[in-house]
Amino acid sequence: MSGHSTTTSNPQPGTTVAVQDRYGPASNTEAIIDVRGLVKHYGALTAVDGVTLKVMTNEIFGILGPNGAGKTTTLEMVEGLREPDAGSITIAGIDVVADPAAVKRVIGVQLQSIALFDHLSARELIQLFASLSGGDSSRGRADELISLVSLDEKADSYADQLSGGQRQRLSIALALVNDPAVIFLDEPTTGLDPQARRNLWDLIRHLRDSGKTVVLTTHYMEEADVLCDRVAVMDHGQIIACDTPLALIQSLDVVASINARVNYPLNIDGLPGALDASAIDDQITVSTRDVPLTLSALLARASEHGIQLQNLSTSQATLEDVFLTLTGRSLRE
Amino acid sequence: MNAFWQMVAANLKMTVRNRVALFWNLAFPLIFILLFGFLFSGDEVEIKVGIVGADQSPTTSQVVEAMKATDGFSVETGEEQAELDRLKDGDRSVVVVFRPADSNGQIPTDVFWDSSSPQTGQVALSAVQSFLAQAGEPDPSSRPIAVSVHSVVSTDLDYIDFLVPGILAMTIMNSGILGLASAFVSYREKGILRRIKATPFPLSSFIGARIVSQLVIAVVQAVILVAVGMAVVGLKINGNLIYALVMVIIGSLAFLAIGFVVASFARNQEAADSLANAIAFPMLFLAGVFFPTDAAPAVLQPIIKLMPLRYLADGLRNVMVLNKSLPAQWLNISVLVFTAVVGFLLAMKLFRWESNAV
Repeated sequence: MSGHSTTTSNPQPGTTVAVQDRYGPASNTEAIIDVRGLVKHYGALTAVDGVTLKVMTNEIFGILGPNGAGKTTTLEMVEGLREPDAGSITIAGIDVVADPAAVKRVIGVQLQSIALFDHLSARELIQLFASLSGGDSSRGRADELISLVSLDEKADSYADQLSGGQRQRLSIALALVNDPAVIFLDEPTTGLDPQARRNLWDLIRHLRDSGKTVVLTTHYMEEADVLCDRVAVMDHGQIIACDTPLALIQSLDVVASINARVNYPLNIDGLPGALDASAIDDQITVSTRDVPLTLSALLARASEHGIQLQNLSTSQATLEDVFLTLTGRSLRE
Repeated sequence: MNAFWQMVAANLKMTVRNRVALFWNLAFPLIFILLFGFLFSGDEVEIKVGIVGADQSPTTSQVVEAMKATDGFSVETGEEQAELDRLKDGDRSVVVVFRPADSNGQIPTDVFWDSSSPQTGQVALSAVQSFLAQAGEPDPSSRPIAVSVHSVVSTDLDYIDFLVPGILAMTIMNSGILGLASAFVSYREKGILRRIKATPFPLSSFIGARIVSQLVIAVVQAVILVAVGMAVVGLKINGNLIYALVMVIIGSLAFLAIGFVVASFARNQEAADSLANAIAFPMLFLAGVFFPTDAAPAVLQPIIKLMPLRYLADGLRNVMVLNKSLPAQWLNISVLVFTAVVGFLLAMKLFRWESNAV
């Protein structure tokens, strides 16, 4: 995980940042996507309620939230697939609301439902979509993309003969046919087994490392944590936090807890760095912002009194806890 | 190759690879043609004879009774003009007209036969002649019956000639209404339309490519059905095949337009299939595919007049087998063009990218 600058709002309204070099070295100082005050109503429901965010060039940006939080609607407005009721969106200097057709040439899109024609092979689908997207529709280029997403053995298979993970990878290959600067992936790993999910994470990291900017939605806390450079936490149509996963976790009061069993009552009050300490029967729990400091003090105190700590473990706070703290609800509910 | 033609090529590839589509587009109509072709155009063992002036003398009565008693002969009596009309319509193989006896007591007899279906006609003629010859002396001049033979060219439509243009019209209707609506609704349900929307390829081009592919398929269908009809079940093409192709294309556009409207109304594929069938099924049975529209009950006639399939079947039949000119089909063509225009306008107004109307 790299420590990016954590600015989430731009103090200068109205500026759009043009991308100088789509394939330039990683630089997190330029915003390639600038979204301000995005609103979308469906009847009485406000699906997206004033979303403002910036995505930097060459980062993996995650939108994390429970189902129904408005992630997909936000993404589809940014992609130019839905018209916002209010707000502005700029991608690589293109006004998405005013010119949705132009933006489609610089972005690649994977939709939540993997939409593939039956009776066309993986290679044919890539060539067809390359042609529809104004990209290089040659067989050679299609085979390159097939290799990139590790579908070499399935190049001639029809889409309905592919597994879920293979379909996802094909769908990502389809998002790359026009060599886009920004790739949007809507819930790319939903329904995949852990191995397929890890393969896909590797592919997404590879895309970032090859110079692309990736924006994805997810409701998997772990995915946002390990994959995304920055995460916007979304709930009820609003962005309630936006930062690197590490910074989000560190913003919590409680970062970790230390758990152990004791064979004799131990005074655990007043440990350095400890925020809270409790003992229920022989089970002690100490929460802290600084695990090494508190843990070493706990160990010293136990050995000083000749008390053994059994089943000693520490648990780190996660984005799950961030969401819980921000909303009072669990992400999985 | 640009994006439009890539899309057309992809559509055609998908159709050829889709066994279900292939069945409905090709096998299903071919089964109809072969089945009905063999059922109805089998060897005509029955020789249908029309007799005029049968009971003017004992001799003629004897001849007629002898014919009636013979297997393979079906004998009807009637007025001369009516019987000749029936011969022209193909309802008689031979018409025998006994004239009043001349001064020698000989009965001049005109035998008319249908030379446009040579085999049946020849068989019938020689059978009738042998009957007439039996009724008298070896010497022709002293026979009581003096025969003169006349050939008549009927505009006889065999059932297969009636059927094949109808089946072709049915096929065009099916791939237009059923095929297109079903495919388009499934595209919408599966999110393929939205995936297309996420590319710079315009919707109008996507639909245009679909229409072009369907027209190509319709023309190929027409060629195959007509070729099989001619080769296997004796379809007679008297008309202009170019005119027929024009009718095929205009008809396809009309039914594709209806298909697009169905696709716009239907929320899911089941609904699309039901609605498409509800529209297509009555037309299949009433609009002149399998039997002429005037055979349907009178109460249904006003409804039949509203059925686009009737105009396509009629137009195809007229230009393919009845050798009528294209301008003479102005009514059929106008109705189909009107259907196409209204349908496409309505479909554009009702078009939805997504199945869930949020």
